[in-house]
Amino acid sequence: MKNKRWLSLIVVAVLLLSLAACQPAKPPTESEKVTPQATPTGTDKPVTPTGTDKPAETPEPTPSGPPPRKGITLTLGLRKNVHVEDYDTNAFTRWLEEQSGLDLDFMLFASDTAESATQLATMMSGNEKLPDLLLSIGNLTVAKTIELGKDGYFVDLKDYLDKSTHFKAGLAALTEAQQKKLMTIGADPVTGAIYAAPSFSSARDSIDAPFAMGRINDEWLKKLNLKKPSNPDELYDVLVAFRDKDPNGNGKADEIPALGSIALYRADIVSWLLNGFVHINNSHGYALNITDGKVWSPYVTDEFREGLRYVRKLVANNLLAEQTFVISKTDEYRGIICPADGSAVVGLVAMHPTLHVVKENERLFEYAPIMPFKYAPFAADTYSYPTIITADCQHPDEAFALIDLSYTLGCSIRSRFGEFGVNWDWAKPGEKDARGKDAVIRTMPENGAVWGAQTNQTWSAGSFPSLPKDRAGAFTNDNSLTARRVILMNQYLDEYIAYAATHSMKEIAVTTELVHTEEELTKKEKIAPDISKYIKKSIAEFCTGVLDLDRDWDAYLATLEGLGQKDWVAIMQAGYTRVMGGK
Amino acid sequence: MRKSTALIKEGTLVPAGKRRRGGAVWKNIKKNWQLHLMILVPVTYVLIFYYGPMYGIQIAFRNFTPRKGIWGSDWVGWQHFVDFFTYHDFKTILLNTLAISAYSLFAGFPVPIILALMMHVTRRNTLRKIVQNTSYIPHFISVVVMVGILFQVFNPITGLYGSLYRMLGGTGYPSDIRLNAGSFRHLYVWSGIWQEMGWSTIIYVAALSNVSPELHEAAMIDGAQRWQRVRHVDLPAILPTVAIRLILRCGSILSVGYVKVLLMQNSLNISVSEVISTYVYTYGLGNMKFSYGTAIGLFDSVVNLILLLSVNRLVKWLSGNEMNML
Repeated sequence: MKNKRWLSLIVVAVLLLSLAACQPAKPPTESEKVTPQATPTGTDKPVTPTGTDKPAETPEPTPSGPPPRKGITLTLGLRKNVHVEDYDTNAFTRWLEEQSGLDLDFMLFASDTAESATQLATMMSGNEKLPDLLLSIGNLTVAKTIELGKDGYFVDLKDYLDKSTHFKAGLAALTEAQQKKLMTIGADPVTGAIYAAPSFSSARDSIDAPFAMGRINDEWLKKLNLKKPSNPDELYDVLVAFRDKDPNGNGKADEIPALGSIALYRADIVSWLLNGFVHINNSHGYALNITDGKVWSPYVTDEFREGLRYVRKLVANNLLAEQTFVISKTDEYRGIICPADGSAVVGLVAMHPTLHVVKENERLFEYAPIMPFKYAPFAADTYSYPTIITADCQHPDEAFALIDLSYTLGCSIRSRFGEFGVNWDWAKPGEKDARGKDAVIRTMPENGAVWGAQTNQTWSAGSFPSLPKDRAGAFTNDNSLTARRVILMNQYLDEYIAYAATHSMKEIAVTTELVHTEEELTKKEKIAPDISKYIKKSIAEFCTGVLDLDRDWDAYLATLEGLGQKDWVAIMQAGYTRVMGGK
Repeated sequence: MRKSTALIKEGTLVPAGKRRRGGAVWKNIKKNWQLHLMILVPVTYVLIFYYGPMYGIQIAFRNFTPRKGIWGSDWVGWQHFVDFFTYHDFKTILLNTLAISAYSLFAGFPVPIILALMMHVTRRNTLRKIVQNTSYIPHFISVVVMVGILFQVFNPITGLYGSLYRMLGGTGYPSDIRLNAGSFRHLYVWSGIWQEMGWSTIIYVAALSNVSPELHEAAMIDGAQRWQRVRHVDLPAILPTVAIRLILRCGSILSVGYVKVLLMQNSLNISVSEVISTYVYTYGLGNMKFSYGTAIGLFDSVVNLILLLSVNRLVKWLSGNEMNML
């Protein structure tokens, strides 16, 4: 009996301990947190303060030197990047600590944007203490940021921005219209409060600017003695030749004349083809067009319908692979573009040269750039608001000083290119960047990659806000495959810009961020995602023959109307008029 | 029935409403204090983690904002339910959920029972152990990996499916079955069955191992063949377990997990693959609409509860009060 009692007590104790172990971990208190040891300047690497390591002509305000340590620790909420070895000892972290005089601690969120949003939502609903700064956590829209800011979660940065040093200098370098948009879009329309630090990126400055990057197999064109097609009809004939004339010469009917992915970044060949008929820009979801200040939907036009009919013809004749509508994984896409046995099987493809090609594969260089046949949309200029100071932050002044530091050229270069003297140096006179402009820096690839590979030199992500003034063109003597691919992308961008200039480009995409009233926002949140989803689904169904363009077109239009198509256009028109100041 | 009566007679369990109820209960607790101490742990667990959070259900009727908290958020009545029921795709989403769940139930439920019976009747122990272990393994593959394998196998260009097609004399590439909306449910359900059938046999194998050998001996003396023994001895023995499992499965018929569906979803199958959980994930959590998500979750739970009670009642009626969970 005694043994039985002891046994029972032990079992209960074990169960209770297990239960206790299942309790969610309590966040460490301030005193429990481990503060990373900042490495003093000069002890390991020559981390020189901003003012001394750059040429005098570089247009940047120069602080007199690193401030003394303030004994203040800020916790930064970051999305974890698998390429970063250790955030605490990271060279970029150490540089920020040195320049700001702050100690930085990290709370790492999931790398996936949506998952990090869920984590943030869970923390908020559980009234957990938020990190001092949130850097690109979740996919918070401006409206959601303002809503949470009004609820008291975030600090209003308006005054800080007005009194800032580096932000204001960067802002002044933008055009008047850009400045106005940047400061209007992110602000609460009623109070003028700005709850997140603004960031701007001009679409045409980015190598990712073309909304889809078309490439055609140049080797095949030469072999079949064909010229690069310049309109949809010519493309059709070329694709038929790719399908029937065994351009890869292996005696098998394994050629895929055209391939893309409607799900992968910059690989949407369907929209690329549709731009031979109507201006479609889905780089930010299926957006509306604006012509002379008037917002309109391209998805209900006859040109759109004709474009779909053309794509359907390609799919029906095995000229455009059906997998275009299914592939959503980069590895699967790479595996088709660069098959294991080495033979090329794809003729026309929309792809991102550094993402969609197998590493160490030269296949990309067999492809020549090809432009869409009528319109050449760009990814819209980005007005984003990624960095937030939370209401839980005890040192908002210091937190904003850190944000303001992020607008400097020195910070921008280090966040992208790594450590001065190790990964980059200032460019010598005459050295050009990949687009042929005077380079600001020269990279030192011999000391290892700092982007897309394991690194302890950067955070491998553009977490901080920035303005175009902060970005530097880089000269590189790197002859690696990656560097050559980047050069290809720059060449594509230049050709794309030149092509767009020769075509009618009155239409521009409506950006996702406009200024709306609360009533408009509520309505937009309800209808816009459904319409976008329905358009995407319908495009796939019309192109693959699930829906018939003659039989089902009217029903498609009726459904769009039912989903609130007219309201959507009206809301975007109102938002656009408001942000353009009634123009 | 007889057994419980006997227990009552012994005084181990005292029927409610009897005289000196409190005293008897206390006496009972004192006598079996070890058992009560042990049951205290799971009861506490259930109270804290299952009953405690139920007060949060009220946010389905409020416009919840975390800063105002559960009690401070404004009441909106049935607004979120009305929004959901009047959502233009509500009917499709509900029917898709029911279709996937019912298909999984009807196709998947008998498979582990059959597998367990097959393993039970086999004479070769080694074979049984090999089958048991190999059929358990897929259970430990994560859903993400599982869907990756599935898509790789059925890839008509680089996958096994495409290779077989060409090996058997096909030219070019076969049509992509992942494009076909009609194939979504089959791929979803049968990959799930493949992954879970081995693991689900465990409970039936345990139930079968409890069947008295004397029953089999008696059946053999009566001239029963192997199939007849399965039908008249083994199957009735595991029937209560089967009934309870069935009732529990019916109690989660609207609870189709979102992870696998989202991973398998594309523009061409979305008309059959959009289910309640994916909708909640995309529109509720993704947009921080906690109240809306909770309202849909509450709707799910109420339907599940009704189904659970109905099936329980049905099973009770069919078995003549022999099988009853509640």
